[in-house]
Amino acid sequence: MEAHQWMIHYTRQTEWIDRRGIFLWIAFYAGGLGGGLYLVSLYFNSLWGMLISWLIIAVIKGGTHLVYLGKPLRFWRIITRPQTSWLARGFIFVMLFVFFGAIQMALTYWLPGSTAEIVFKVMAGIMAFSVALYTGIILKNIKGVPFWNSTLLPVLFIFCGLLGGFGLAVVIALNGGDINLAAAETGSRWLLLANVLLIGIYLWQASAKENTSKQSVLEQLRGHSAPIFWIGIVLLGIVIPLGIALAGLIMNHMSSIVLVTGVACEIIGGLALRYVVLKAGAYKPLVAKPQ
Amino acid sequence: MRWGMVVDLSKCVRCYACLAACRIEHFLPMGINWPRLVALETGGDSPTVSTYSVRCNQCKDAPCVEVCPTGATTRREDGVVTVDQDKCVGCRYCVVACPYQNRTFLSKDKDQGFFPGRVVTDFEKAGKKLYKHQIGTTEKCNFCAERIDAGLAKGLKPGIDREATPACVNTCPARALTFGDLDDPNSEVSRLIREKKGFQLHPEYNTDPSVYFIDGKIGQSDEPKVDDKADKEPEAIGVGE
Amino acid sequence: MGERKVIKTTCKGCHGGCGVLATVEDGVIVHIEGNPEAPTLGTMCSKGLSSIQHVNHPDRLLYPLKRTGERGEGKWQRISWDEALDTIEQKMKDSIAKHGPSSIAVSQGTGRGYNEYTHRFARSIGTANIITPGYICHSPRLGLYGLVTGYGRLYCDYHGWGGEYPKTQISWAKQLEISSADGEMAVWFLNSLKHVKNLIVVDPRETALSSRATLWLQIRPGTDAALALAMINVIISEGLIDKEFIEKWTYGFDKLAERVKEYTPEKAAEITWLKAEDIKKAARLFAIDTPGCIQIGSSLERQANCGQTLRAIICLLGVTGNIERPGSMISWVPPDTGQREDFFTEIPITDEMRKGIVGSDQYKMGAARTAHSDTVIKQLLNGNSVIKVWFSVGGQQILHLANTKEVMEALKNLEFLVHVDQFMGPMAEIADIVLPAAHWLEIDDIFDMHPRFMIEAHNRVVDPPGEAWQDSKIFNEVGKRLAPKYWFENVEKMLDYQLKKGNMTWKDFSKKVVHARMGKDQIYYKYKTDYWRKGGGFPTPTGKMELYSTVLENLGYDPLPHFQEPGESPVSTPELAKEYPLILTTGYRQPFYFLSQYRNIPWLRSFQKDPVMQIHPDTAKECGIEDGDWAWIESPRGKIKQKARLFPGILPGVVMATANCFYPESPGPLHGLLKSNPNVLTSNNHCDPMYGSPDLTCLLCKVYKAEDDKEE
Ligand SMILES: Nc1nc2c(c(=O)[nH]1)N[C@H]1C(S)=C(S)[C@@H](COP(=O)(O)OP(=O)(O)OC[C@H]3O[C@@H](n4cnc5c(=O)[nH]c(N)nc54)[C@H](O)[C@@H]3O)O[C@H]1N2
Ligand SMILES: Nc1nc2c(c(=O)[nH]1)N[C@H]1C(S)=C(S)[C@@H](COP(=O)(O)OP(=O)(O)OC[C@H]3O[C@@H](n4cnc5c(=O)[nH]c(N)nc54)[C@H](O)[C@@H]3O)O[C@H]1N2
Ligand code: SF4
Ligand code: SF4
Ligand code: SF4
Ligand code: SF4
Ligand code: SF4
Ligand SMILES: [Mo]
Repeated sequence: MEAHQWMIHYTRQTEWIDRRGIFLWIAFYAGGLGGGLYLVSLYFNSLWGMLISWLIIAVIKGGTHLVYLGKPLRFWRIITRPQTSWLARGFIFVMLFVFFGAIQMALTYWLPGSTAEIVFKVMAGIMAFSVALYTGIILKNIKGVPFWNSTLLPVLFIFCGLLGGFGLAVVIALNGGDINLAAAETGSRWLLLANVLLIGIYLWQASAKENTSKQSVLEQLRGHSAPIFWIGIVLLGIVIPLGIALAGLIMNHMSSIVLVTGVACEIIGGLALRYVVLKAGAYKPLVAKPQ
Repeated sequence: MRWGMVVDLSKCVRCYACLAACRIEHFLPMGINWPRLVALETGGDSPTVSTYSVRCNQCKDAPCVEVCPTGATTRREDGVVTVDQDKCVGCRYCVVACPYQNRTFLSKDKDQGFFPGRVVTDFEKAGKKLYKHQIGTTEKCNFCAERIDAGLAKGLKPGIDREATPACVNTCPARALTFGDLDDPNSEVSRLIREKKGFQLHPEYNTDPSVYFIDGKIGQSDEPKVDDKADKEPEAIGVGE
Repeated sequence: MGERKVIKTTCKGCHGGCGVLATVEDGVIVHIEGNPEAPTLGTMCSKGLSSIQHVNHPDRLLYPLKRTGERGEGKWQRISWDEALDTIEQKMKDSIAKHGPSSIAVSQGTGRGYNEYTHRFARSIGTANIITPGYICHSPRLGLYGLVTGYGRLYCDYHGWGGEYPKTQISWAKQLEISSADGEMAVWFLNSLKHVKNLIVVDPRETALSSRATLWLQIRPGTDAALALAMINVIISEGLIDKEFIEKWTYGFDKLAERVKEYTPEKAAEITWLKAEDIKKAARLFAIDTPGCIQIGSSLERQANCGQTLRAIICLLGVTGNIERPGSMISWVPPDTGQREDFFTEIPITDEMRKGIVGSDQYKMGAARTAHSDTVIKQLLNGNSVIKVWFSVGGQQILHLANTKEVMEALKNLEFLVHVDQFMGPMAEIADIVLPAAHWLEIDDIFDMHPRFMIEAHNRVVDPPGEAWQDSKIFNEVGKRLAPKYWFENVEKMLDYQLKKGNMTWKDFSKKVVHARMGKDQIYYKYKTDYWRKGGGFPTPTGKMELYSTVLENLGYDPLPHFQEPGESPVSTPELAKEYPLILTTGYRQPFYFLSQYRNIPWLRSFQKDPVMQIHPDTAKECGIEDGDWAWIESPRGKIKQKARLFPGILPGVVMATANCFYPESPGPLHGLLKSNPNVLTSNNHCDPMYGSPDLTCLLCKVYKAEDDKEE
């Protein structure tokens, strides 16, 4: 793009998705997935689930976000300034979750049922929820990108994280973990429905809101992001898991390979959703071109 | 005191001098422009060719300040929003959050030198000493705060005295850029905004930019022209005979 | 921190003249900006500022080079200056002995501040075969103004020194706002717009100013004479003429009045594709709201009817009395140092030299002091060339002359070609000897692109790289070997000599930087005084401003202006227009390039990577082109490729192609010369009878989508 061709048309944000931006995409998704899984694990009281979610947040979420920073060694500046912004708070949520989660798991292992365990479960749970939530708030607060300015976005991200969480719970259950398979499957089904509904409403709202955000929607339905939207979100994230879910309802028993495939599809769908949301986030033109 | 700028769309001739002046003033890495030109060309019944010379608006309610998790981006007393590159972690939240897209993250590929792999010019070497740019941090137009500060220290007036005025304003051959104190109702910028209906970009963001734009026709208008001041009589230099 | 000093100098990154302050620290330029004390008020453009990337450029030519392989093979050997100068001396002397001095051509590109040396050098060795783009750039104007005023220079009085600013300005085929062309700086023009009442833009394309102007006349390229004549028609028939001026100071008004009768606004509207109403409006504005001035652009000079077009516009100035009035067109009185032109005109062109000028028999106005380039090319092609040895300093004739393919062929037939440049461009690639030239930040010289009210100093800021020399030194050294009588011990002595009338030495002037006659010291209404002629009057044969030109009459040209269709147009060649339905105009000066220069300057290249062609969205649709596509532009001579920019501000059916472009980064010897250069499309067969200017800005073409960006 040449200097003067800039920002008269639809201009995507690039910093948080293109090139090194993919780290941020992974980080954002991992935050949602890890947080969701932790909450699901609390519900099932699954230590395996807690451990996996802890790893997802500590290693994948924390790691990729750190790697993404231009000056990672200065990250302490962020965590010492919670008053500044949601990004700082998010970093702190991650740190606290890692801290509370570790203690909680130790307590669950060695002192199950203790008050301390419950206290730490609550605290880690709040942090997990916050980790899953804050990335949505960050995007929602960005004024220049109308596609993101919606309270639905954090909600969508939370539900998407929970969906992933239930999916992983299914996998844990299949592997003989401490989770009831049927309950996990049921949760998964409901969340899938909720997600489909939310995505639909979100896109519909965005396209009705304003020109740039409509273009963002069109970009997904017909533009460069369309393959990822249709294959990643719709086919892999919705149609296949939904098909498997329906089949499961009818057939009563499903082979575990099919179930795991369904979960993998859901996770790819979740990644695709984050990707497309970041990719299609576009600024309003700096100066409007009269039509 | 709140430094501000007025960009006259009826004057800008899209010459790119403001971009070049800023590159020199701040030894900008090859891949970076602090100011930019937005070219608007429309047809129809009232066609226009307009060029918006844009740069950081030094917003009063700046989203970039709001989101910065490290305190690297701050708003000074005089309204200038600055980035302390020693504090910035390069999280790019501000880059994404600036609704005017006026911030650039300095990644390695944007600092490959003028002639990558061939020579490092003397000017670049000097720049490395005189004006540090840190890869991995974010930067933007700072209203030439260095010039403002040094000028004020000498008792000069930004917007009036050249030494204290931003480089892009000084170099503009069309005199499309005016700089001054928005808080002073008698300053040239305040007068232009008042008399020529200055407007800010995207007021709906409630950021209250310190950069205003004005537009208009050349000549022929009946309103008194604010620019109509008698020119200083030039000195005749070296006439003989 | 090391030692810091600020050196005052002058930019000639374009036709030039901006005052510069260069800050040097430990011998390195760390900053440049405009000099606020200079008449350019401290402003500078992107080209001048980006000079910082010029001085250490890795592709700069550093040493004299001698060709060792075939022409254009790219095999070079470094040689010493002595060897280079000896060879040049020998070749020139041989050629003079064998074929006479006219067999040597001395060429330059557009004015780059060393015009004086080019001309002096040529004349000093006895040839007037000077090859310059002047005949398509500024010279026709000068020559035709010259029929009216003293030394042939009329400028717009933007400065208000006589107490008035122009009330009505016409920007006629001009983008002065970015071109700072021909000695007029954009900043002066733009400043004067604060005082203007009416601004009229005559241009087939919308410009930065047109939408804010009082009137924009979106004219069909090549038809400007019809517009000017119709305006005169309106002014006369509505009685808006400047009666007193016409009666007292002009010659041939009645004949002009008779001539313009046929150019009614209605007829002109048909020719020019304008509205008759707008033509009338323009005429009235210009005639009623005086004083006024017209800034003529060189697009009009790159047309085969240029002589008559300019004559018509000058007559328009005459009937409205817009000559020598404060706020109108004026010929500046130079400062006491005199015109820098004196430095070459003091060596007269002898009859023998005149006879030897290529093309002088045909183009009596254009080829009177310089050669006609296209005839030189034709002769080289036909094997009857007068020119054998060509000394070329800073100019890419290979790309800037019409019909590139012919020019390439022709240049191969030269016996000896020397090229002086800063970079290895297409012209250097085909030379026998290449000499390295210094950049303006590296020279000591006097600057005056066109004689005007001031001269300025280039002060050396840094040393030239390698063994590069400044152009004036090269001329002086070669000059000393061939015509010692006219050349100097060293450059400083030569500069002293140029300043002698002003009672200054180079050292004095170097400190002073600007030497000017401005403000109250300028002289208006010279024709009312003894300035040109005792008892008043113009320096013409009749002593009047010649609306009817006796000079042209004597040369056998039409003494009154008339309109003539371009060589190729929907009207003059309707058959051809069926195959090539679009009108092609070329030029499109970019603010960040200077002709073909600066595509190798990273800052400037970053503003626009590829040459751009403007086309109206409707026309583009018919051609199947979208914004940003590469598109073929094809004429009967060939085809080139440029990037399409859909631009609603251009007249539908007209295509504007960027001229003077090659790709320095592409491999030699051509450096992408044939890929995008519009002169592949232009013809050198149809030229203006007075000046020999070919149609470069009004031709026919067709346009279609190019599949990819591969070089053909
Ligand atoms: N189709 C078409 N053709 C055109 C035009 C058009 O509008 N359309 N325009 C015409 C016009 S008006 C002109 S003036 C010509 C211009 O044509 P030229 O003046 O020939 O311009 P360039 O092709 O840029 O070649 C200039 C060369 O001079 C070198 N140079 C620059 N500065 C210096 C210096 O100080 N010293 C030396 N020794 N070398 C230097 C540059 O590196 C470059 O190689 O093109 C003409 N041709
Ligand atoms: N930045 C920059 N400055 C330059 C140059 C450069 O390359 N870059 N080149 C220099 C040189 S050598 C020259 S000669 C000058 C030229 O500079 P100018 O004389 O100012 O401008 P031109 O490039 O001739 O073109 C001016 C306008 O003429 C219009 N035009 C084209 N054909 C016609 C026509 O038939 N009729 C009318 N009425 N208008 C027409 C074009 O659309 C264009 O907008 O600029 C000089 N200055
Ligand atoms: S324009 Fe952008 S970078 Fe500048 S102050 Fe406003 S929000 Fe911050
Ligand atoms: S990139 Fe730097 S300046 Fe911007 S928000 Fe992050 S820390 Fe602050
Ligand atoms: S005000 Fe200074 S920093 Fe900002 S764009 Fe202009 S020159 Fe650059
Ligand atoms: S320097 Fe002035 S005229 Fe040139 S692009 Fe910038 S604002 Fe416009
Ligand atoms: S207008 Fe010409 S002289 Fe002035 S800075 Fe630009 S290139 Fe140099
Ligand atoms: Mo030219």
